[in-house]
Parts: sequence; structure tokens; C-alpha cells
Amino acid sequence: MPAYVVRAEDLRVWFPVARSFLEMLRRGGRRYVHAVDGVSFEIYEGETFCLVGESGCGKTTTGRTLVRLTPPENVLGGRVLFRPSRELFEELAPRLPKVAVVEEEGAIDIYAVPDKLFKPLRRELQIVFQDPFGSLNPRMKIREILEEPLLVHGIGETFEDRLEYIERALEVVKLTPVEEYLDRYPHQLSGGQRQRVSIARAIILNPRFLVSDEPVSMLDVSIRAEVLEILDELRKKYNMAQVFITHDLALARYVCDRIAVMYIGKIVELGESDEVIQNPLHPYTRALVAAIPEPDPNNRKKLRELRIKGEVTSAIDIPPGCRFRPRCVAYDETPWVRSRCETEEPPLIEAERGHYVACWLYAKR
Amino acid sequence: MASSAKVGKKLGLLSDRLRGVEEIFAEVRGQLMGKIGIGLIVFFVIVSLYSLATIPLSFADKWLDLTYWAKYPSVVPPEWVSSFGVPVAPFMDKFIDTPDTVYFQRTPVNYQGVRLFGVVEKFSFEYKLRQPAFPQGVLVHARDIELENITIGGRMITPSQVSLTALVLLHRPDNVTLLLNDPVVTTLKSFASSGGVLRFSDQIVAQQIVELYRRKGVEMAQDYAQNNAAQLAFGVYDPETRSVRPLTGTYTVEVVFTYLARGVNPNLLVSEINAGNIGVQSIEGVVKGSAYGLMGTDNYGRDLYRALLFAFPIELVIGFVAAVASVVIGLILGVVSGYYGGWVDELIQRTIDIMGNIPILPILVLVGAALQEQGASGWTMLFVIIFLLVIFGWGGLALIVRSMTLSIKSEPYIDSAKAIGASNARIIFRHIMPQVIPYAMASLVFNVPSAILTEAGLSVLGIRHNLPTWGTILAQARDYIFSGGRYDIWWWILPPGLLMGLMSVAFVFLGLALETVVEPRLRRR
Repeated sequence: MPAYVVRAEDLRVWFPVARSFLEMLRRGGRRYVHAVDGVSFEIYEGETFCLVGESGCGKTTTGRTLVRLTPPENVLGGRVLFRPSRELFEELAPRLPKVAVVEEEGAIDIYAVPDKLFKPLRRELQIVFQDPFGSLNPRMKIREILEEPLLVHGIGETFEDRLEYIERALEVVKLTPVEEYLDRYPHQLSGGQRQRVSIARAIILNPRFLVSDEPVSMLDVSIRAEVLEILDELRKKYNMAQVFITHDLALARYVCDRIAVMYIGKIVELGESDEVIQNPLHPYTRALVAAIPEPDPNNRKKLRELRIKGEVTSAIDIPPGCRFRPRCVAYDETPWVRSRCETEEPPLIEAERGHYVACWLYAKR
Repeated sequence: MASSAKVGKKLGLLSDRLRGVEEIFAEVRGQLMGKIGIGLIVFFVIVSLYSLATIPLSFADKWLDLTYWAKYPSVVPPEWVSSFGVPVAPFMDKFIDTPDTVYFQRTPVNYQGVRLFGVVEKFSFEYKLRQPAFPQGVLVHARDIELENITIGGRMITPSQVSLTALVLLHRPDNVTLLLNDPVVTTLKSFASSGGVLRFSDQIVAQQIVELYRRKGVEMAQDYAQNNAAQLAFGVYDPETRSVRPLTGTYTVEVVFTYLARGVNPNLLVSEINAGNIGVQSIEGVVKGSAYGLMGTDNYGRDLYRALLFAFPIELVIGFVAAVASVVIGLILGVVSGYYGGWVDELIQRTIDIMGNIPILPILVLVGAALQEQGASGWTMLFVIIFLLVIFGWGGLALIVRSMTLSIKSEPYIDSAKAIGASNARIIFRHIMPQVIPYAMASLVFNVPSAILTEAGLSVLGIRHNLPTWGTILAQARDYIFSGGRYDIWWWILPPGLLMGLMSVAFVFLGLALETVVEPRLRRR
């Protein structure tokens, strides 16, 4: 088994719900949105790991938490371990508080690092956002946007040095000839080009770990492929560990090595991507797989049964027992597990080799 | 190595910011309104510098010293009105360094109806009245009075032992001579310590005029003569129309001092005076014309041109200091409030709420009145007014900046900047400020005239810091009219009003031009 780059351990990210004045007077306990509610996984070098789920399931929060964009006060449990490059670890470890360093694994607990000391780690932890229009400052030229990470981390003594980095990054994301893009503003670029600028900004510091948060969902279908290709090349070329967040299971299958399906802050199924899609175990995954559009025109008009009911329940008042229960078809059809579904949260169990599922249907095995 | 990288980083940031300023400036210059606005502001600044260079700050004290202004005609239009066909009696202010004659009048003589006896010293100057207009009178100021103790024939004579009579006589072109002052009979010493001013006396002149016309068979009421004494002195009464018309021609003003000292050889006294040891050595002769200077005068004879000029830098300082201070405070607190949130935000917002609901005008009036009671100086009051304008002025911008910051803060590119490790300072200065500053600048530009107008408004409401500002000048014109003065004092009302308007227009134009920087959709090109 290759060494992990990032490991989430029982990660819990809760956001407090804003209270009205009256509620404050009533002195009731604070209520929380359980955006991520006990999630564990490992991501290995050279691997693309997908987080899949409906909107609101916590996949974006998970992704942001992995690169420490979630305010530490909202990370209420668990930890995120990151294994930086050898050099960075050796440079940082002596300066960090003891609790933040897991010496034997060469890893750093990123939420135990004080804010001020975290900056160097950002070089190796990067993220690409969904919105290619909003994620670039409209008042800055491409050159300035790409220069910023270098300035922040003090890379490149002179402007010429930095320009070299910038040009290299633009070449990697295939925005060539480079000179044509340097002095343009974001609004002068297409969505695909902008997303490639975002990627260039993320990789200019040569990160070990890259989170891509729905990087192609706002792009035209015709240009998605090239962006995905760039990400895949990066993974291969630099042996980068990647997290790919998407709501599109079909895309996940195309992009990822492993898939984690999330439902209201929990991973309900995790496994090799082909395995998860061809042999979905969890009732929720099954419903998602069934919803993948059928590419075969002959089957187009065939009505398929969608084996799910109701709507996503609130992440504030999570029902006891299995949180998928209100929408679960299996719960209706298999009365013998119901009592467990109602009372106990199903743990993530290895149903088949390397294929985990959180459902009481598979508990006895 | 590391430090040079740091310096390079700072230079990079600085040049980025300068570039933004340059772009804004180019955008503003590209528009007609921007050009006019900048042109006017440059004009105001140049005039202010000229004013600072030519008028000392002590002018503010001089402004309040009414005796200094006594020699100037009151409520007269500027001199250039004569170019528009308005007859003008010129203002004359002349120094006469040496007496015409000094001699001993041995036997008392009747000189122009006045008894002359003793050592006589005469000064004289001419005044040419070419256009049919009335001067406001004549004023003679003994400038240089020598007060040495002299020894004549072994006896020491002090100035308080020398008695003095001073007469101002007006020889008219029609060969009529009028005594203009109440003859001063006093000692040389007390004449000097009283200031040495010989004033035009309405009563004395009126008596002579009434007598003069009685001899011609024209009856004139003493009251009428007294109320129109200056006009009658320089004019001719027409009994049919019951009006006075100006008498043009060359007038001669003769100033006669007579000295007497008991038991002193008068001839020796004459030589002492000639030697410059005792007595009036030079006089200043002033004929108050019917027009003065470039901008006329107010009811105390104060030169409005100098006051208006003096006010230029003051107005700019009021406007800029109040506007810049409140905009800087609003900008900083707005960004801090929006970016950091939490209790800081809460504190700032509630402060704005409270400040916003305290009515500033009554406070200004109260504080101003209190300061006036305390006898605070004009500069202190001005400072306090500016201070209050700033304290109550930053809230609005802070609210806007805060909401802008909130919306910018939630932009994905702020998250991106955080993801690459940018510090809060970098995010604020590199990503938030550049978008907020154009708004702040537009608001700054609109704040400048509003501060100036508020200050002027306070003057009208009776909060007088008594510095000559445009607002004060206007307010005093209002007082003058309300206290029964004339209404046709356009030279007193229009210039300060127009200047205030022009200054507002300058900044509003600049603001409108800046608006297109802030909101590119307004651009026409």
C-alpha cells in the first residue's frame, strides 16, 4: 500500500446556526449544521480520490477542510494529517508545536498548527474552485494573479525569476503562447481558459496535494475534457494526490481511482471507482448510479425506476439511527433491519475487499 | 537575501498601487467634467498658496480690530464699477511727511472762522473728484508725533505742558471752506496717547452748512444736514429737488495744528518742531471714497477682497481635513468591520447607529455657543467644528464600505488568495481596498463641499468663529441687512456665495468624473 498524503480521521466540521436575540435569551444549546460528521479516509500519492454526493452533502466542506480553508473553530472533531515533502517536513517540524507533528509518519496535523506557522504548508496544499468567473480577481492581470502566490511565499528574487515560474505554469495548463495571456484580464478569457489560470495558480507552487472542487461543472461540456486532461497529466507528471469533488457520478468514474459517496456529512460508500459504479451496495449509491444518463440512444426512452424517495433532510436535525433512513427504499422493503436503522448509526464496514459501505444491510457479513 | 526579497515585494505592491492611481487619474482627465473639476481645484489651490504667501495669518486678528478699518469707507462697492459707468469718488490714502509751513502767529487771527494763535503748523493735500459721486468723509491721522522733553532757555518743557489745537479744513472748488472736525483742544501728550485721529464730525459740518445756506436764503433742517453731512460737504444742495448733487473739482484738505506753551519763546518752539524734536511730524490723510479695492467693503469698512482671499486656504483646509479624515476613518473602520466581523463589527456598527442618530446640527450649535461663551479663539472653534464634522461624518461611508467588504469577502477569489497563503493584510490591501478606494474617493470628493457648506451654514446659524471665511462674510451681510442696512450690497453677497458654489461645482464635477471610474458602465467611451 502506497504512503498516504492526506488522511482524514473521524473529521467533524460543524457550523453554528445563527441565533436570534430571543433564542440567545432562552439559553438553549447552540444548534449546528453538521456539514461533515465523522469522515475518515486516506488519499495516496498519484491518486485521484473523488467525493461524490448531492449538493449540501458536505463534499465541498470536506475538500476545503483538507486544505485548511475551514476556520479551525468549526473543526470540532477528528484531525487531518498531511504528509508534506521530506524537505518541508524537516524544515517545519522543529518549529511546530509537538501536538501538530506525527513524527513516525512524517505527517502534520494541519489543524493543530497555529495560523501564523501554517503559511509554508500552503505551498503543498492547493485547491481549485468551482467558479472560474469568481475565483480570479477581475481587477488583476493574469500575470499578477499568478505572481501573487510567488510573492506571498517569497519565491523568485526578481521579477524575471517570477516570470519564469509564471510562464512555466501557463505552459503546463496549455495557455500558449504565454505572452498572449500574461497581460490579459480575466474577463478577456473564456471560462475554460480561466479555469486553467486557476489551475496554474494552484500548481505554480508545485503542491503535493490538490483539491479540485467541481472544477468543470460551470464549464461548457465541450471544454471540460481538456481541463480534466490537464488535471490528469498533473497527477501523472508530479505524482500529485488529488481530491476531485463532483456531483456527477459518471464524471467521477472517468476521472477517479477511488470514489467516496457522501450523504449529509457522512461517507456512505467508498471503493474503487469501477467497483462502486458497477456494483453499488448502498441504497443511496444505487439510486445515484441509476440516475446516470444512459448514453445508448436505444435505451433513451426506457423509463427507469429511481429507487429513492423524498428530499435531502436537514443537516441540522439529523434523525437518530441511519441518516438516510427517511429516503431509503431498502428500509421499506427489508423490515428485518428496520429496528437497527432507527436506533444505531451504521458504521463504515468493509463489505467486499476494499469496498466499504455504511448500511445495516451488510452488517452481518 | 530574504530582506531584499521583502523589499522587492513591497516595491511590487507599491508600484501596483501607484498604477491604479495613475489609471484613475487618466480616466478623470479624459472627461470634460473631470478636466473642469481638476482645473478649478488647481485654481483654488494656486489662489490659496498665493493667499498664504501674501496675507499673514495675523490678518485674522486684524479682521476683528475695527479701529484698523476705521479709515476705510463702509459698505462701498469695488472700484472697478466705474468701468461700468457708475460714478466713483476715489479712495485716497496719503502720507504727508513734512509740514507745509511752521510759523509763529503772534496775534490771534480769524482763519476760516477759527481763531488762530501761537505756533502754527500746516499740512495740506489735494483731492480730485472727477466723477459725480460722494466720498464718505475725511479722516486725518497724525502718524508721527514727537514727544521729546525739550529745554528752551534753561527750562524743560514736557509734551504735557504743550497745548494743542487741531483743525481739519476742507477747501472746496467753489471757494467754500468747511471745518470738518470738532477742534481738538488738548495737550500734545494726550493727543498722542488718544491715537492722534481727527475724525469727520457730522455735527460740526452740519452747523456750518446750515449757516451757509441760511445766508443764501435756503432754510435747511439741522437734522437733515447732520444726516447728510458728508454729502453736503462734497456737494451742492438743490432746494427745489431737495437733494444734494456732488460737486466735482479739486478739493484741498488743510490740517492745522497750533501749539502753545506757557512761558516759552514761540520762535524757539518753531525751530524745535522743524528740527523734529516735538510735535506732529507727519500725517496720513484719508478721503473715504465711494468705492474701494477689488471687492468693496463691509459695514465696518473691512476690505472684502483680502478677507475672501484669506479665506481660500481656510476653506480648502476645512473641506479637505474634514473630508479626508472622515473618509479615511470610514474606510478603515468599514473594511475592518466587514472583514473581521464578530464583536469588532458589532462594536463599530452600533457606534455608527448611535452616532447616526445623534443630531449633529444642534450639537454643533450648542458646542459653538459654549465655545463662544468661553471666549475661545477663532482657530480653536474652527478646529472643534472640523473635529465634530469628522466625528459625525465617517459613519455613512463606513456602512457602505462594510457592505462592499462583506460582498467582496465572499468572492471566491478571496478564498483563492487564502488558499495560496495570503495574509489578511495582503487580502485587505491587494484585493479589497482597490475595489473600495474608488468609492471612497468619490465620497471624499463629495464630502469636501459638504463640509465647507456646513461650516458656512453654521455661520449663518450664529456659530461664529469670527475668522474671515466665506460663510462668515455671508452671515455678516445677512446681519447687516437685518439690522436695517441696504439691500443692494451685491459685492458683499455674491463673491462669497459664488466662490462657495464654484468650489462645490469643482468637487462635484471631479466626483462625477470619478464615478465612471467606480462604475465603468457609466463610461461613454
